[in-house]
Amino acid sequence: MATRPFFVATLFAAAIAPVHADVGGSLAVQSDTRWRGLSYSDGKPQAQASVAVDHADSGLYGGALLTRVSFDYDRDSTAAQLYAGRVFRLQPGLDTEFGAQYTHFAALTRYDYGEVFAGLLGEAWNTRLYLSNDYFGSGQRSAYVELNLQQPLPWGLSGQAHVGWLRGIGRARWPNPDGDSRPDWRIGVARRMGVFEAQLGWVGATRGGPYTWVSAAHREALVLGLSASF
Amino acid sequence: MRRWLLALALSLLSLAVSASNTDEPRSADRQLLVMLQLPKAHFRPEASYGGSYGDTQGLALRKRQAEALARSHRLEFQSEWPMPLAEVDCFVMRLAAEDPRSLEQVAVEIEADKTVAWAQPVNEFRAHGTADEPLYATQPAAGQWHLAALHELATGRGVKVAVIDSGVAAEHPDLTGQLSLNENFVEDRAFAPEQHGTAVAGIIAARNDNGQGIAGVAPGARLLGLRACWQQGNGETLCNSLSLARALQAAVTNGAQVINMSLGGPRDRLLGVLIDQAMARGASVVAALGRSAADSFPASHPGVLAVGAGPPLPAGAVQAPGRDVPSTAANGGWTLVTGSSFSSAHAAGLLALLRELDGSKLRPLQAGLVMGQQGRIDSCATLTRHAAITPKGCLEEALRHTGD
Repeated sequence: MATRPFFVATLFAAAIAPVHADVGGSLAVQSDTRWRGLSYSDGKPQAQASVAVDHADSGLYGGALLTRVSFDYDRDSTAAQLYAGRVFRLQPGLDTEFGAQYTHFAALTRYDYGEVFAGLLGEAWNTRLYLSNDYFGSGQRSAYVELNLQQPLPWGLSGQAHVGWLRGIGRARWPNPDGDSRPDWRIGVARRMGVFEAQLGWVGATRGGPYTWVSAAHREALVLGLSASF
Repeated sequence: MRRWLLALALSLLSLAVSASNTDEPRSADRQLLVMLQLPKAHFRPEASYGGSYGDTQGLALRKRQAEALARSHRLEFQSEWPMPLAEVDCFVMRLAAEDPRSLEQVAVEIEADKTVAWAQPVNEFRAHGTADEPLYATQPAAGQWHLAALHELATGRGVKVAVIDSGVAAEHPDLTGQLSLNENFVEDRAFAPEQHGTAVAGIIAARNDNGQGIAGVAPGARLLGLRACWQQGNGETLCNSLSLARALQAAVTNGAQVINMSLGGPRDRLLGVLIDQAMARGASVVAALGRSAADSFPASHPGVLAVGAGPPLPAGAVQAPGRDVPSTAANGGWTLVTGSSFSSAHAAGLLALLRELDGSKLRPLQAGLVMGQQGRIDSCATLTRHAAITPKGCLEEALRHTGD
């Protein structure tokens, strides 16, 4: 059951809430659900829900994200992404974090995979390295590195930019004719209105990289997202 | 006599339009700031999917917590201001006029709640200086500080200097093109060019290439005009904890290397945390000395360069020109100003010159200041120490001292 990790995270959040932890969540609708540049909703709108818990004093955090994904050959599944980590202060304006995330697909458990990650976080940027030993169940190990930038803009807007680079490591069970690596990017703006946030971004990825079971037809898309936090 | 004739002539030439707000300050009206801890930013999968950074999560919860605190402590919830630099969400609450409790008493009560990082009253701050009648006169810095000689060594080129003050007249002919930012952080008050902020900005970075008015100490610096204070009908310039905190946060976000605060008030925990964060990121904070302990903050804060116009000076404070200083006026003309506010502006300008020459090596920047007698900054010695050459004007000054 894909919803199980979500409920586990919710119970975990509820359990540690009395010890001075922040518990929050969000509901969002995206015109196209994209992960590392590729569409996991077949280019169609999709909803997602998340719950998160933060312990400000220790820097511990965890949470879960629940969404629907569409793979090739009309295979759909509910996906739950469970994550936890800890962030440490290195110096004012610079933090580091270590964590892990596990993605579970209810109807297609052979695509389940986990990653560990480490990152550096500045005030207007962050960068992370993710390592997996079986990316999307492809049988191939992977490394993904990303850089995210954020810049306040006039009229309450926030400019956002992301570049990422995914590379398959070792022998692939299904070798990709376009090579082992796949860069992706996103550039966009966001505007917060109280607990609501709207995002508009141009998202895309090249071909190549580990096999990920989704349509390769639309490599780029303009994505509109609306989210509400609670 | 000549001085008065000049004053009269410039009074007639100058447009005597004073841009001021006459409303009484609303924000210092029995207000309390309640801080709830803000978690550090970290990985969130929804950020990767949606292009959001996901940092709105928990915001609604903290707001609900703050509203519940306001209800249980009989306060009126007013507004919220995230202060990520201080790692808190700041909520503004108001104590009813008829409530017999003091703000300090309520702050102690509310801090007993485990969810509260701390609570404090909204303090009021005042600018340390006054503007006299419009007058174009000789700049003290030109003689005492050998400004022309200093500009042979450095003009503060590209150094970002934040002016946390009242509104700066960006269209003033001596300030045109000198501001890279001019933002308003005073709640419920529209931006207006005001006297104090405009005079401070002029002393720091008035243009020296336009053939009119004055020359700033650091004409090559880029000013960040951060309006956190407002001018009252009586000419007094006031600020409060919240507007100053928001402006400090913007100064750091925009990469200010020198932050000038020509104002003073009671010790303030939120501002202290933000000043520490600014200094930890390499910014130098300069503040005007107050007249009493009640208005000695932020000059008294550890690490802040405290500047006065004359003796007596407390230990560690320095002296810079601050009497009868001509500077830019909010109405587009020029005016004569006096007070430690303007001494602070001189010191901020000098730090910008120092930053250009030796910035990356000096931490804090003020460690590079060379002091003369009675706590006076020796500007020539300060700059020549960090430059390869000694300009003629400074050489003459050095020889004069040798002769003495």
